[in-house]
Amino acid sequence: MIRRPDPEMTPDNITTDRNPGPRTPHTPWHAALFAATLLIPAAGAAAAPVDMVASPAGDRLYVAMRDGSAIASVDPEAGKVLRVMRLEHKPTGLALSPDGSKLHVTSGLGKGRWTELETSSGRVLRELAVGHSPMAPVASRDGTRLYLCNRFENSVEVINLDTGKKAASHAVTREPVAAVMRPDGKALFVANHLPAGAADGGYISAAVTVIDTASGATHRIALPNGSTGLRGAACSPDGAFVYLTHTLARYGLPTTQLDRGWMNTSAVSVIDARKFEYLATVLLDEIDRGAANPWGAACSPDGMILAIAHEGTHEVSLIDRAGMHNRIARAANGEKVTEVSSSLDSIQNDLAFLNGIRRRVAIDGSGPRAVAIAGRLAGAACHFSDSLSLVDLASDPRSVKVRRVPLANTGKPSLVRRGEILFHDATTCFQHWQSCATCHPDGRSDALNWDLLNDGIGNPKQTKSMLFSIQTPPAMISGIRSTGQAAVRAGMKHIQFAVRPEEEAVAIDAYLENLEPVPSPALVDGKLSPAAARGKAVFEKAGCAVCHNGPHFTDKRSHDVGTGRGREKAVKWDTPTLREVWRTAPYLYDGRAPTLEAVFTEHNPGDRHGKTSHLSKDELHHLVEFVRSL
Amino acid sequence: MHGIARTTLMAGLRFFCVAGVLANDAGEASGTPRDRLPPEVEEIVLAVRGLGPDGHWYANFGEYAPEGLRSKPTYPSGSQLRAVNLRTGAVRTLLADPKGGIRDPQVDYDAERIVFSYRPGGRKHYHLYEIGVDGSDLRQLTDGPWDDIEPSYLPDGDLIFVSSRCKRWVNCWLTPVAVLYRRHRDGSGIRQISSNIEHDNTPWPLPDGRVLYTRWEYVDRSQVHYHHLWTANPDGTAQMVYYGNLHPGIVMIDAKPVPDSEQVVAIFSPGHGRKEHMGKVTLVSPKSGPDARPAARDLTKGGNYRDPWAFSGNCFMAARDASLVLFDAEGREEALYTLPPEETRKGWWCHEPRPLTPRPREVILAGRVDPEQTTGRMLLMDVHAGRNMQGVKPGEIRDLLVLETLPKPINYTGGMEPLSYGGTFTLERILGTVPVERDGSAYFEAPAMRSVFFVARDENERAVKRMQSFTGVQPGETLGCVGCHEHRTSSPPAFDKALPLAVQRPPNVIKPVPGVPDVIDFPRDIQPILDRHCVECHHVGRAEGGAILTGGRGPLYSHSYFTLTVMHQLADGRNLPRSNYPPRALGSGAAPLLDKLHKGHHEVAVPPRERRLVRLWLDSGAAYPGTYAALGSGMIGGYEMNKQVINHDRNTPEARAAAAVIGRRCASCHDPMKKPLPRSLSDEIGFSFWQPNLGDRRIRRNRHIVFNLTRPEKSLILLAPLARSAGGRGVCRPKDAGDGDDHDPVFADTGDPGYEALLALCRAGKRTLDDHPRFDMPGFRPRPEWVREMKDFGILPAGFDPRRTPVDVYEIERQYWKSLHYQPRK
Repeated sequence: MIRRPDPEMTPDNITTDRNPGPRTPHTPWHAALFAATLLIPAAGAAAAPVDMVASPAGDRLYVAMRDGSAIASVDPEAGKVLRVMRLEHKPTGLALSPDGSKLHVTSGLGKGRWTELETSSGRVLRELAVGHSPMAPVASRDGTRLYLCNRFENSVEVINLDTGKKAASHAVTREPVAAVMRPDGKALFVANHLPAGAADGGYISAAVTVIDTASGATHRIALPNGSTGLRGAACSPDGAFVYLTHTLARYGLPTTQLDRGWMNTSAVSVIDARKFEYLATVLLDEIDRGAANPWGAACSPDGMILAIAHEGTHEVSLIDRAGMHNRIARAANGEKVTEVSSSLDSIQNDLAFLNGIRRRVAIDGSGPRAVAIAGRLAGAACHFSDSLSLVDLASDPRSVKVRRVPLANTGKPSLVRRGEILFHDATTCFQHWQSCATCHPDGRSDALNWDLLNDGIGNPKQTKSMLFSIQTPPAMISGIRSTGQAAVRAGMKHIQFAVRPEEEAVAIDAYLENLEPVPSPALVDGKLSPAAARGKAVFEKAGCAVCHNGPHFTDKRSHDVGTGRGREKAVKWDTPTLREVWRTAPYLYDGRAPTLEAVFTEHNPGDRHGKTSHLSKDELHHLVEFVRSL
Repeated sequence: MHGIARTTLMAGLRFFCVAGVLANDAGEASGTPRDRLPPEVEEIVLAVRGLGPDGHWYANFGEYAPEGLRSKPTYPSGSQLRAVNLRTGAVRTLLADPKGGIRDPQVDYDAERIVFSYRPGGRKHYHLYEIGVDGSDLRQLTDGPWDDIEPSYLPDGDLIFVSSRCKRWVNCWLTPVAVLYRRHRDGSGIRQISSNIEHDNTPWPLPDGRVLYTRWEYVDRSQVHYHHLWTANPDGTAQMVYYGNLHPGIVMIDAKPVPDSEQVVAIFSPGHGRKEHMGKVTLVSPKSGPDARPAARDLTKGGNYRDPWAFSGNCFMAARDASLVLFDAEGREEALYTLPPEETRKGWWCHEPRPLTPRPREVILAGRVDPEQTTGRMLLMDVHAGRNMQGVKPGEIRDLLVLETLPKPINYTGGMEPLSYGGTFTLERILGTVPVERDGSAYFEAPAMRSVFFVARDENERAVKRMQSFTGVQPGETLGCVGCHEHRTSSPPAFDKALPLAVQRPPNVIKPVPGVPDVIDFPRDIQPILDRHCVECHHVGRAEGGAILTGGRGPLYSHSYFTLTVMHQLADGRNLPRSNYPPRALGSGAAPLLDKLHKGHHEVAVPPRERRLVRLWLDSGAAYPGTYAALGSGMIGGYEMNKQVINHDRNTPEARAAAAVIGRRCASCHDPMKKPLPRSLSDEIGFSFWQPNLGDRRIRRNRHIVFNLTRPEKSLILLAPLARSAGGRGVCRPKDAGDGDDHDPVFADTGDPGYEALLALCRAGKRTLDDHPRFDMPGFRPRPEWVREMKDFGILPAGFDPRRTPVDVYEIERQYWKSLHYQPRK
């Protein structure tokens, strides 16, 4: 399968594209050239790399290509794809055995699977059905345990690699998406993607769960208010610090502007990995240029560099780790480190904290999600350009060398794919502060309330999932946009503060219209559980179906369900779809209800939102199970 | 295949360029700066012309204000628009006008058209023109009795430029102001997007879609120090400092982005700027915020560069005298082009060079303006968040006093007389107050397109913190602020509360202060309060503490206004290059005058309403007149340093006679150096008019206090040497006189010829004022230039004659300011 090297892919083929404007995610010449090598996935199909690991010796990078259903083995020095290991399922995450001989692959959105591959041959050694939507596998240092994040089960599953069987499960807070083991193997740090709990209070934030691998005890570490969209985790080689990438949302402010991080900032939070304590949050944005959607993170084996992929701005940040910790330590001592930072708390608002100790490298690829360091090269797996970018860490800081390795011959993206690319692209936004996906990760919700200007100021609303937003007009909980399409265009203008071509909006419409619901984790073998089946009758009896009806469980009309507060008393809300509602907590227009149960009980006075007050405990349970299954 | 080959070539070129930079960075400098010129640059378009007569960087268009100077041009005559081929040396003349003026060319994105500002020979005004790059198809884009200069293309096809159609004059000079405007390319939709009352200059789009420009401003700080880099969105929203606002003393101008970089290149013209913006070429990085000094790096040693252009971070072009020069980041320089001798002999220089190459369009930002609204909204998250707020407790600030800095319809000199004595150049209008919630938040409607600023006040309505810049909203804009004077590199703190209290209700409307004029006039509004409560002890005959607070007129100010100023009673911040003071350092928060009214000063009991009026006067700039019609009239003497003196009397017979008396009778004590006395009504005894040193006690016996032109016989210069028995104060005696009451005063009685000579001087001054009444005197008439402008602005009818019809200048100015208010449109 391995063809002659592409003549264009020489080590000298470097670029330093620093164009700050919007970029074309696909660079046709790469794809066209690559056609000659016919390296893999069938022409036209996206590879969509999602995860990557480096071999212990740094001589290989393994890239999991979700839509390509394959793992690519890359020689980073040569910039060549050496082998492509095909899979039957779409991989979601990768881990390497400590000796580098085996790859652990998670796959499946919904029904999950663990696959063990032999790196030398690509042969499948073992497979096992695991939890719901597994990802971010981590192998223990001794090679006896594998930890998987079952994203929508809110659990971390442990597989005994000696027996190949499930050994344990640990509950985490919400949607674990990334994990990293302390080098001594004693603690696993798990990044919970979204905040849990009600959104109408003064604090809402995603958390870090630490699992004591010996005892199984878990410990929760809180992050600063507004932390959401956790994506990546890395640990320093000395085991002193864990780094978590996420969005730090200034959700308490009306969305009047983006300047200076007024809405979303991009951050890396630093955890004291020995004490299990939060230390500080460092902003990755600069005063006039955001670094949206920070995703994968990796420390160089020598501990010098912390590399962070910026999915939204197509960059990799290379942070001088010693420099950053020096500043953090001085600020902790009350020293004025920058204009803004003279305490640990002030760092999280400092848009100049990393000045002089971080390089932002444009990586000639689109949507880097995973980053791994192999020798002197930092690899960034680009989800949307189906390519791997290799950043030469030894090159001149003023002119960092970047090399692009195509991973697939995907050709021109489909309209839906193009919409997905644009939805995630922050370079179409004013100063690159955020993409649509910053508030709508995976097209869903960041679980925060935002005070948009479309209905006045002072009345924040819970971010809605975009699933079926095109199919169920009007849009927004207030119904203020007549269609989902209108909301897309309003978002570009009023949230991105950008003027963009109509064809981009059309592509985003198509992407949203083609979002597919993830099967509920409440389903049993794809069917309603007995409790949920009973709950269907309760749903009818309580009158839920009067409004929540049809294929999307909405009548597409507005109703006063008695939930309006303050200035919004008696306001009618657009009936939201209930599909995937298991995923979209917190509930009600202002996110006041952390659970569905709370919707039906404490937040339904007067039975205005369905007749639920008379339901027995069992009926309530069945109703919740039914709605959770949709 | 064709496509592949082409893109491969492009990739190769890109690599080549990178390698080139690397080689240079590594010190392997391969020769000259010209080697770094991008290969696609073949021709440079530039303007060539002479220099105007005025030394100020901005005073190069329009007419001078005084009638007597109308014929004197501010601009040079004779110029060309020219293209120079760098490879062949060929020169193309695109437009030549031996009497006209050509300036500010800018090449469009496709390098097909050039927009520039042009004053055809024989005409007074510059307007925008466009011409093909081949010199064909010259089209006039704007017209009218004003000047349109410094145009720049915007990525959406519109043009941004600065124009003097804004109907206002430089607050400290004799020329008109131009501020930011934009227009559609077809000529429609001309809209003012800046409310600045001073100049905006050289707007240029940044790659991220904002517009970078120079804003000159001075709200209660020095008029010659604050001309820094600002940004705004192309619709005028989101006006924000970009660099330098806390570093007084440089004109930062002609700023443009450096390609493939986040830096900008600008001219830093020293001090208050030099002619044609001449200065050093400086590279500015915004990353550490607008206040970081190391963020600016001079690229040139010499200070005679103009109009920089960046081809890259290591290749720059600028005009230098009669040449175009190219230089790299290390300052290696070579000439690209020099004017021929016949042009240099005429004093012509090269100006505004731009490469004739296509360039990428910047990002287009979504508009935030709703032209149908008359207001915008301002949202302040926490008034306590900011620098220099030490000691201010949460909840201490109760409201914001909202002030507007008012445009000047005319101005005659470089000084601030008679608006203040070394303080404000500008009248400030009190718009009213808005509440601050206990969490420090405020949310209110603000009138669109007005230059507003704030005083944060405590429960006693006294100033805690004062803003010394201005902000504003466009129609329909909602502007959010983190705090007051907060760190500019700070993102808004993630507040640990669901919502700021102020947004949990509709926005406040600015509440006018009842019973208080919006523009306070000292003689009309404040003097009566002093008359009621202060003059009993502080009149010329008693002058407790050395203070005279009567309203008698000196040659420029009333005695009370002068006394309050020189005895440091106002805390007006003076005309200093200083801002962001600590809390309670300015205005009503610090003025000793107010302490006397509040805390009790002997047995003075001032009613609350009067105290409030004084407070508001102190917080609105503490000006003397409440009208700009007072400028240039009712005065004797003036700005000696600039030879801008009105009615000076040094050579009148009365002054000569009085000077002789002072020399003969007073000089034994009043040494001209140590204890000087003015020898005429216009004699400043060496004090700077616009920067008087109030710490120098000699100022307390200067012309503004010793002459009483309302009641000449009450002049201190008469009463001090006059015997008590004759009604004087008898404090001046010949140096050899003994102690004891009334022993040998200088003037034993009013029949002393010396006394009579000094009285004659004072009476002559009174006659001058009677003939040219001051704004607060019966029979006051504004100067013809004020009337001329009000007619031009359409406020007064064309046939209006102030000699026949009395004019309420306060009302007419109110109408003038109102005429500048934003008018909503569909």
